[in-house]
Amino acid sequence: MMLKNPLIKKYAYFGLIPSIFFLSILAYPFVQGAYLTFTNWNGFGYTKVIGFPNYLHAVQDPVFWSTIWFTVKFVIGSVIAVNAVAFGLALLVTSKLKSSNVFRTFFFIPNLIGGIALGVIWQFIFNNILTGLSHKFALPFFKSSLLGTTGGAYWALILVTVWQSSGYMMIIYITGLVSIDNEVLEAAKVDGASALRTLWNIKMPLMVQAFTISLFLTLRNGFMAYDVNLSLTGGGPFRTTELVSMHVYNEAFSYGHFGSGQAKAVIMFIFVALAALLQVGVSKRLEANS
Amino acid sequence: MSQLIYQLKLKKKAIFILGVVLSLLYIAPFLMVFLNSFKDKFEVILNPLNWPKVLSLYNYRQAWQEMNYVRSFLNSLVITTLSVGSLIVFSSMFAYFLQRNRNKFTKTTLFILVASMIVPFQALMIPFVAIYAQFVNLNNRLALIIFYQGFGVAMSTFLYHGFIAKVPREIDEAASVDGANDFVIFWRIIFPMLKPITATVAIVNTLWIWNDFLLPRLVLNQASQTLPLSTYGFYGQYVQEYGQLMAGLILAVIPIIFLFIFLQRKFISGISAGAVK
Amino acid sequence: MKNTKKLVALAISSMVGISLLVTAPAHSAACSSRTKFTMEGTIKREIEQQFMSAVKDYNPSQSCYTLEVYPNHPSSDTFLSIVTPKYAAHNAATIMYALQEIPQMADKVIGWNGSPLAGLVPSNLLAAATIKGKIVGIPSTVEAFGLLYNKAVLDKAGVDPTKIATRSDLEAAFKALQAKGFNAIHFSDVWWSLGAHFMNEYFTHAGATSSARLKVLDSLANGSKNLSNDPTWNDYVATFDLLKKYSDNTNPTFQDTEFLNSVADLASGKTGFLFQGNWAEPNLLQADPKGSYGIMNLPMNNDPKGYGNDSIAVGVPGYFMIDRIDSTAAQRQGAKDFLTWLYTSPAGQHHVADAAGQNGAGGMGFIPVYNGFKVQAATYMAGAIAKYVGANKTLEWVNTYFPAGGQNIYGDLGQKYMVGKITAADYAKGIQDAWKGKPKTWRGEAVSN
Repeated sequence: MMLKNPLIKKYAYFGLIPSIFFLSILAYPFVQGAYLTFTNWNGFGYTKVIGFPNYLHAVQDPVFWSTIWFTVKFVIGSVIAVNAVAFGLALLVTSKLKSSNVFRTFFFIPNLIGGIALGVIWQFIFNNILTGLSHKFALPFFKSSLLGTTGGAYWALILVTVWQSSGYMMIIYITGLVSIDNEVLEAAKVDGASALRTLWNIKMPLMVQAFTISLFLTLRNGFMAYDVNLSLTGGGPFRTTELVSMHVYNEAFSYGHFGSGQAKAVIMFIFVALAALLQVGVSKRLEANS
Repeated sequence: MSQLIYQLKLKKKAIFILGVVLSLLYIAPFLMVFLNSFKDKFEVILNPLNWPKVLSLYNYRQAWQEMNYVRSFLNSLVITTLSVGSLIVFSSMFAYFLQRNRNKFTKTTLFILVASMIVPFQALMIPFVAIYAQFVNLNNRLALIIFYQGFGVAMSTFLYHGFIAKVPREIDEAASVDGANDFVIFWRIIFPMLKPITATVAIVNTLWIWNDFLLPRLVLNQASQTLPLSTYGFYGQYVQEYGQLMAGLILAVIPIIFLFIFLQRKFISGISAGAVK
Repeated sequence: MKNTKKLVALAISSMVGISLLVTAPAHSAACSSRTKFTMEGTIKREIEQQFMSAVKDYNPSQSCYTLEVYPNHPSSDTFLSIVTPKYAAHNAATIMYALQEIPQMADKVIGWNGSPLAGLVPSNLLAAATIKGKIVGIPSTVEAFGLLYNKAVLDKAGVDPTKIATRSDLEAAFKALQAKGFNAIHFSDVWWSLGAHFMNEYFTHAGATSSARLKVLDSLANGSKNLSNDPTWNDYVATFDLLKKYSDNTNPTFQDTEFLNSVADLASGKTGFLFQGNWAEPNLLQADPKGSYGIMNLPMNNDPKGYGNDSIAVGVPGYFMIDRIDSTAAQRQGAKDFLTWLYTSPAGQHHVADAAGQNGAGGMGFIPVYNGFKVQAATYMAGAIAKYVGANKTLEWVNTYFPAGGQNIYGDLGQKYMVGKITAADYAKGIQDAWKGKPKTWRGEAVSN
C-alpha cells in the first residue's frame, strides 16, 4: 500500500537499511542511555525511576570536574598544536622541493597507526629511551619520565597527539594551499608583498574552509580521545590525566557506578555539542567575512 | 641577481634540512621499537639504547604465535573490507536519496546524521552493551560489521551528500528520460562519478576500523580478535613481555604501512577530496 | 576464627610433607552424552598456557563434561566489564574467578556451604568469600607479600634477615647495605603495590584479631575514624617514610612497567630489598637464574614482640565461583567436577603446584591450600612462605575487603605521598574520605549503585 507513493518507495530502496542501522545502533542506545540515568540502574538491571540522584552524584564528584578541566585543557592545547604543526608541515611540503613527496609520506605514517599502538610506543620512548639518553649524555632534561608528573604527562599527551594527527591535517591544508589561484599570488608578488604578508593576508583568508574542517576534526578528536590516553598515561599519575572518555569508562566498569557513569557521559555529550556549535558558528562567520 | 639566486638556494637548503630533521623525528619512534624488538624484556628495560646482545628472531616467533598473527590479520582484513564496503554502498545510496529529494523529512534526517557525528562513543557505550549484550563477547564478526554500519553511516553519508550536490541533476534527468530506473541511474551513472569521494570514505573508514580498539574489545573475544587487540595480549596481570610486545607492534603496523606505500596517491587525493566540500 | 592460623598451617604443611587422605570425587558411570560448560579466562594471563594444558588433560579424563574456556581479555578490562554484558545476555560463563567483586556476585552464584571441596579449605581462607553466611567461592591458592631480598647481596653486607625484628633493625640493615655500596631497598611506586599490598600493612596491623580489624573497617565506613590519632597509622606512616628514605627509586614513573624495573633492580644485585610478593619470583629467576631470593617480614614498629612484626601477609588472590542464573544443573555439576579434579586428583595437583616453566611448560606454580595435597610446591619462596605459615606467622589480607576500585584510590594517595605532593595528614584524610559511606561488605551489606 505504502509503496504506492514513489518517494516512500525510493526511500525503502535507498535509505531504509542505513536508517535502521543508524536508529537501532546509534540513536536507540543514546536515548536509552539518557533514560537510564534517571533510574537506579546497576549494570545488571533497574527496578525504578529515581530522578536526578545520578546527576547529583556526578556533579558532586570532584574528580569528574578535574577530569573535565583537564579535558578542556587537552582539547585547547591539542587543537592549537596540531593545527599549527600541520599548517607548518603543509607549507614545508608545498615549497616546491624535489623531496617533498618523501617528506609527506613520513609525516603521514603515524596517522596510519592506531592510538593504542602509538601510546604503547611513546610510553616506551618517554620511560626508557628519553631517560636513557638523558643518563647517557648527562642531559639536564628528561632525567625522569615525563609521564611521572601531571604536567609532564599533559605535554606528553599533546606531543603524541600532534605526532599522530598532524599528518592528516597537513593534507587538508595542502589541499587548501594548492587550491589558491596562482594569478592571485603572482599579483601579490608583483605588488612586492613579503612572503609572510602573502601568507597572512592572502593565502590564509583564501583557505578558511580548510581551517574550518581541520579545526572541527581536531576538536572532535580531542574530546573523544581514548586510545592514546589509555595506553600512554593510563590516567596516571594519580588519576590526574584521565580524559572524560576514560573517566566514564572507569566509572562504570572499574568502580561499578553505572548510573552516575552514564550521567557523566550525557554531561560530556552536552559539552562536546556546545563546543562544536561554537566552533562551527565562529568559522561560518569567518568564511562569510573572507 | 646571482645574489638573489644564491639566497634562494640557501633558503631551499634550509627548508630541505628542516624537512629531513622533521622526517627523522616522525620516524624515530618506530626505529627505537624495531631496535628493541630483538631484546628480552630485561634487556629492553636496562639497555634500551644499546644494540641487541644477540640478534635473534625469538621475539618475532613468539609474537607471531601469541598474536595468532595469520588469524588476527585475516580477521582485521575481513572485518575492515566488509565494513568499509557496505558503508560505501549504503551511505552513497542514502546520500543520493537525501540530496535528490529535498523536503522536510530528508532535511531533518541529514541534520540528525550530522548532529550524531559529535556523539562520543562513551556516551552510548554502556547502554549499547546492555542492549546488544547477546552479541557482545560472542566472537561475532558479523555483529561487529553491522555495528560499524550504525556508527559509520552518518559521517559517510555526510561526505557523499556534499559531493553529490555538485553532480548536476540534469544527468539524472537525461537518464530517466531514456527510461532507466533509479537503481540503474545511480549505479551505472552517478556512482562512477563519485570516485574521489568514495576514496575519501574508504580511507577514513579503513583507518578507523582497522585501528579500532574499543568496539572490537567489547564485541570480539580472543578467538576472533583483530590486530590491535592481539598486541594488547602482551600485557599480563603484573608484567609486560616487553621485547615480544615490540616485535608484535612491528608486525601489527607492517600491513597498513605497506598498503599506504602502495596506494599513496589515492590516500592523498582521497583526503583532499573530502577536504573541499 | 580462633584457630584460623592453625588451619592455614595445616593446609600448607600438608604440602611440605603431611598428606591427608582424600576420597576421590565419586564419578557416576560413563555418561551417554557430554555436557559443555564454560569458564571465563584462565585465572590470570601469565599462566594461560599452563592452565589450558590442565584443561586438555581434564576433558578426556572423564566422559561426562567438556570444559570450554573463554579466552582472556586484555588486562585493562575489569571483571565487571566482562561479566555484566554476559549476564545481560543470559550467557554467563559457568565458572568465574574474581576477588573484590565477590560482594557484587554473591546472589548470582552458587553457595559452597557443606560441599566436600570447601571442606578441604581452611575456614579462614573462605572468610573473604563468605557473604551473609554463604560461601560464594573457593580459593585458587595463596600468595604472600612482604620484603623480598637478594640473598647474595645481604650476605655480602653481613645482614641476616632472620634477625630483623623491629623497624630500627631494618634501618640498621639498610645502613649496612649502603655502607657496602649497595642500594638498600627499591620501594615500588606501582599503584597496585601501594594501593593494595602496602596499604594492607596498616589494616592488617590495626588489630590483633580478625574482629578487631573488621571494627576498624566499620569505623572507617561510618566516618568516625581519625587515622592521625591511631598509633598503628603513625607507625605505618613512619615505615613508609623509612622505606622512602632508603629507596633507590628516586624518580618514580608511576607506570605499570615499574614492576619490571623493580624486579630487574633486585635481580641485578644492585639492591638488597624490594617490597613485593612471591609472584615476582618467576621474573626474578628469569632475570638472573642463578640468584636466590627470599621473603621476610616487614616490621612496623620498634617493639620486637609487636603484633605481626615477625609475620608476612598471606592471602587468597582470587576465588572460583559457579554461576547459578544462566547455567543448567548439569553444567554446575561439571564445573564442580573440574575443580574437584584440579585440586584433588594427582594429575590435577601437578598442574596446580608444579613450577611454571618457560613457554608454557610446567604447572601454574601455585602454593597448595587444599587439605590432602600430595604434590609439593616447587619453588624456594613457596617453601619459605610455607615455613611462615607453619610457624603461625601470617597476617591477614584485609585488602580483600577493600571496596571495588578502592585500591586505585589508595594507590593514588600513596603515590602522591611518595613524591611529597601531599602530607601525612592529607594521606590520612584521603583514606578516610575514600572509605566513608562505603557498604560494609564484610558485614554482609549489599553493594548498591
